Amino acid sequence: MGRYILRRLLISIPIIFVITIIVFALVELAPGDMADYFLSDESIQYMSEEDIQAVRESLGMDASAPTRYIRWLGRLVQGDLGYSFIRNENVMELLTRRIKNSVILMGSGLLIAAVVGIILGVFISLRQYSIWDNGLTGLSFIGISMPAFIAGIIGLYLFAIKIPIFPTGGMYSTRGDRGLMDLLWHLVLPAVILSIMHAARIMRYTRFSMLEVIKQDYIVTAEAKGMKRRVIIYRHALKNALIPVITIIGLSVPMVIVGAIFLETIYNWPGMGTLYHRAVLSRDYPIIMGANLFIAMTVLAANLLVDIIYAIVDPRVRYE
Amino acid sequence: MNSMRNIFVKKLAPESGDRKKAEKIETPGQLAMKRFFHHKLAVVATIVFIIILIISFGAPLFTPYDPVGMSLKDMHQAPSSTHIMGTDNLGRSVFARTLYGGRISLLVGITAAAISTFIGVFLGAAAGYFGKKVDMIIMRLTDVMMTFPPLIIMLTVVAITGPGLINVILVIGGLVWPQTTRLVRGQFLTMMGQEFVLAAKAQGLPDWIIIFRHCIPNVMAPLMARISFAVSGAILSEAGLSFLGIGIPSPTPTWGNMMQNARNLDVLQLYPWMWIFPAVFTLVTILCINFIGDGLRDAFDPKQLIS
Repeated sequence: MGRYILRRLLISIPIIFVITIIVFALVELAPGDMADYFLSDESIQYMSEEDIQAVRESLGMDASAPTRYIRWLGRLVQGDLGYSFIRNENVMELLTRRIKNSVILMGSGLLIAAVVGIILGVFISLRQYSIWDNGLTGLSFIGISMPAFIAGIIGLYLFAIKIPIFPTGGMYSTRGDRGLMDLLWHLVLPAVILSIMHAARIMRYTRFSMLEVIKQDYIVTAEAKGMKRRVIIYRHALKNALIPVITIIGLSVPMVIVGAIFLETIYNWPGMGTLYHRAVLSRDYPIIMGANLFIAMTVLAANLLVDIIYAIVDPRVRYE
Repeated sequence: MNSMRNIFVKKLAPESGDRKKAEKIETPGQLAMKRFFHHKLAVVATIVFIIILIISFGAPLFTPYDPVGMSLKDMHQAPSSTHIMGTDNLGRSVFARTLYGGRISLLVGITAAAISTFIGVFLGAAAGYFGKKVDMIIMRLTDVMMTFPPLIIMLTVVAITGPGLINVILVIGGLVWPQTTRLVRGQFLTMMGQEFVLAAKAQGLPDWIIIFRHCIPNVMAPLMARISFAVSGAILSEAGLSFLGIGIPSPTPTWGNMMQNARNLDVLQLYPWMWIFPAVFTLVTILCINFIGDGLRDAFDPKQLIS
């Protein structure tokens, strides 16, 4: 087991390197460079060639791209992502603060999706072709095709404006008690909307997987032995049926991140998504680089976690 | 498909022993068509999608209004008989903008999907056919590409290149190929050991002929479904980028930048027709394309039987 995990971790190291190269190169492709932010068109008129060169040198922009990459990587390893062009804040601190808020939103969204998806998936798999099955499977088609931003504005319109039971945005109320209940009240709407598409997907996979498992010989054997239906379903079938569902939950992570960017902008959630969106609009490259790096690492970590969980629950994988 | 028919008839006829039965055997293409038309939802979806295509690309035939011409005295009108979907904050007909916007959204979806399919098939075929180092390099590249959610790189790249129709098409098309690559490579790997490829190689046919004439036709079935999902994905990407204000800028209408209005709470609350109609059109289009994709996947799946 330990060896399997170690091997998986070692395989990730070159991928992490390539990720950092891509993150750096993407911004490198941009016309102009960091120095342009500090040299406005106006100030350039009053500066001599040497002055401009001095500014570039002080920013380290005179070095070649590979040298700057190495320097950037060196600072990155020490947890230094530089300073935001626009906000003049330390990117690392800014990102960690915002990511915490995003994790609350994304985590609860994914949790709701997994719980609701699995429960409904098991529920309808035991009632194949019933009204419940047909109805929920039909709805899941709409759920899967429903992009987060459309669901977001429809949800906001219906449940915050037409029937104002939830706030229109933000994470806490501007006045009054800012406790946990207040947070939950602000969280429910965006988190539930974020979970819709994934709940639908997870439900369909759980249903499919359950139906596959129920056909297996060991379930027939258990039935023939006269075991209770409930024991067969929850102890024998569900455990095995959930294995492929883990992959689907893991694969949802990148889409949850993307969905959260939309929902954060719609619901003014002070998370990484709103920060990222504003950084993109104002071309604040240090923030864009930091966020890209974080997102790619999260996806990589999610994939790794899926592989490890897989190896724990399914011993066949680790003895390959 | 004709050559395949011969193979099927010749191969199956002596085995079944019944000459009449053998003549009735349909090509895989015909079987797939038959299965597709049995899939009622897919057929309905195809019809609705064709209607959307017609009214979008034939927009001038269905609305007299100019999608970009402003008319400030007509602003914020609720749907009525003159403006069946109302007017927006600059007095432009929402109906006209939705139809003309459909042109752009569908154009982006289809061309971006075409680009990504081309890249995906090219890389997937190369990886699967040549194997070894080529395969290793291409697959590691797709692995890395897949750690970035496409929309994230799109945001970064569009922030760098600037918004605009061509940029959006190129960025979407250039970034969503990894899934197609994986699919095509997987299909190619199963084919590599098979007799028809070995025979073609033994004849000394050049690699590109084996790839294009012998292998790619066999990938078409799963690829068709993949292409339809690529189209719906590209439409959504454009809508998402434009919704965030980084896609195709106004005044050019697209469903995405029309929905962008809904980010303003006043518009969301007071003038819902400004965003509901493009949202409905986007949703219906995506649903139709996904149903068509599902229909195609089932139709080309040889395990599916038909009565």
